[in-house]
Amino acid sequence: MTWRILYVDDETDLREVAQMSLELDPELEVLSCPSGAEALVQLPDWKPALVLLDVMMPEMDGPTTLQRIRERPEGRELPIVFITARAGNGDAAKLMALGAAGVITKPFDPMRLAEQVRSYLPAS
Amino acid sequence: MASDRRRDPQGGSPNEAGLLDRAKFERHAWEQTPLGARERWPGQLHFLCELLLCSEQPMFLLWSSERAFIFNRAYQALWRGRTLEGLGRPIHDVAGDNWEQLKPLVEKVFAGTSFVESNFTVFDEVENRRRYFDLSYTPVRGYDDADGPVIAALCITTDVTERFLTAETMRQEWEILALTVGNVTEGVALIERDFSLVLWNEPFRMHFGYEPEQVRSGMNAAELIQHSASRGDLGPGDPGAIVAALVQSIRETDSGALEVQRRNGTVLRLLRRSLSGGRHLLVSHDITDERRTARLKDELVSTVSHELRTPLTAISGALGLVSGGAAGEVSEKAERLIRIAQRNSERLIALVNDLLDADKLQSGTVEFQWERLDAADLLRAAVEQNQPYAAGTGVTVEAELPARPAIIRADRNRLLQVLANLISNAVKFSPAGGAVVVRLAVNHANARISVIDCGIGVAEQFRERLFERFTQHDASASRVQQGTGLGLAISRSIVEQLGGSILFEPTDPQGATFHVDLPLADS
Repeated sequence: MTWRILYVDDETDLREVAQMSLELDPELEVLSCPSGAEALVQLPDWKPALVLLDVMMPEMDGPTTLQRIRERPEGRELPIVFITARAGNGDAAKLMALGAAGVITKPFDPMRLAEQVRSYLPAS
Repeated sequence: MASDRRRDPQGGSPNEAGLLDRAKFERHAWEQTPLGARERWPGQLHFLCELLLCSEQPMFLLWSSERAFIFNRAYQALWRGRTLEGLGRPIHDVAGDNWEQLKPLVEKVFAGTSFVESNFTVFDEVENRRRYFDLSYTPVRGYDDADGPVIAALCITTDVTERFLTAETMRQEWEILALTVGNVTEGVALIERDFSLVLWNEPFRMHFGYEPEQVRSGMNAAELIQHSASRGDLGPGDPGAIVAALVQSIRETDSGALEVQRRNGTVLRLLRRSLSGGRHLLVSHDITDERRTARLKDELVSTVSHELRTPLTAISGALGLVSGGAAGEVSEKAERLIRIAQRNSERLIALVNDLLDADKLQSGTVEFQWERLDAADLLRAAVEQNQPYAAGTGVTVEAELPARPAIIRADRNRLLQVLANLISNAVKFSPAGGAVVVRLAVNHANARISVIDCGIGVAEQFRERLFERFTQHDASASRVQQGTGLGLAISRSIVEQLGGSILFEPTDPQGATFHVDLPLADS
């Protein structure tokens, strides 16, 4: 069985590193997008099992993207995990309060990222 | 004519023995004065002299057109240190240097006016200071001749030195206060018990944006509060209610601190204190810039940390993938180089994290998750967590724990952070094969956690700066001791905010010991 992941981050290099890290797990299939708007476009076709969402992005930031995804029928129950370089005191709690399934902090361990993400998948 | 007190045979008040009494008065050689022999004096002069002789109040008389000077014992005693002579002689002969001062007064009273001359000064040679008198002058007219000419002047003297000096001291103190208040950057206002404004400075007026003519001495301070409230400078709501609440709070509470943001964006910190006598002191401090700077700093720290972490995530991620074999086989040399790059990117990440942490701890914005903990459990966890790092350098870490639990109130993760820092430092500065001991002891009201190593120790000149930021012990020649220089500063901040203290002690005979003292929960 494979799981589809939608990874959203405005940083090209990070998208590449994260995608490679996640795909170390042969059961994870990753589509990465450079913006929240693009993620909303891809959502109906890609039908991800989980969205991995950067917080600080230009134009549409992570929390706004989460809100927009939640407005879609396919996004209402979708696990959304924030991945952020800003996880100081209280930041993670605020993100969780928005309805996120979890928060992963940058920098992440590339050899463990897939394992971390799998823990938020419904069947895991 | 001054006489020397030391020559006074009685040793009491100066010239006590020489003071005028009835006998001396009667024996006086009056016939050698313009008044002539006493037997020929008019009855009114006898009567006035009798009044002088009987009175304890210092007084003197100037009689007739000759202005003959007659004084009493009490008046004579006022002139301490001087022999007052000239009984019965014209005042202008007797007064000497004082005549210029006295002349207009004498003329005024003989012109028929009664008056009080305040603060007449005399230099007291015994006490070596000025003394001050109120002189009350009264013109005296002949018996049954109320509208007739003034035939004498009676002067009653009151010593007001103490009153004068007190008033003078108060005036000088007020002057110093006004000068001080005028030269401070804080706004200051003093409000009387009846709520009248008695003192204020320019910064006070500027802070609240009052026009110069709006602030007047003696005005009701509530009027000023009303100005501010109606402009919306004291927050939203009915101005009348705001004024009433504020006035009531000032009247009913001893002191208070308040922050107000004016409509124009100015942020003021107001401190109020009740003074004795029911007065109130108000100090205003413009903290607009302070607030703006703090906000900018927070934004800067947050942005910089994000901007630094993003590329660091890509670097460490890419290196991690290569060294983890995700990109296939690499040569042994390449792997060594990748490990160097990895180690250094980790170091940069640690630095960014520590900088952020130190900043937040210093600004007091860290929220602690308080809970009851057994310090022994925490020590076991800390030792376990740091075991892999220690094993990698060939150093052992042992816990020495008491039999009974030591319950403290603390933030588990923050305290683990402190212990990780102390243990990793101890390991870092210990030789391979060395041992680090983590000991818990309970003494009085404290739990004492000690991290003891037998490493290179801390040089004498370095000890007092040990807990300051960016303080790092010189790396020894043989090993490079990497760190951010923030670990001990962060540890101290955490321990102090947990209500404890951290201190250093050299280990005997060699090494370093760090003690963390934390209050026991139930003490």
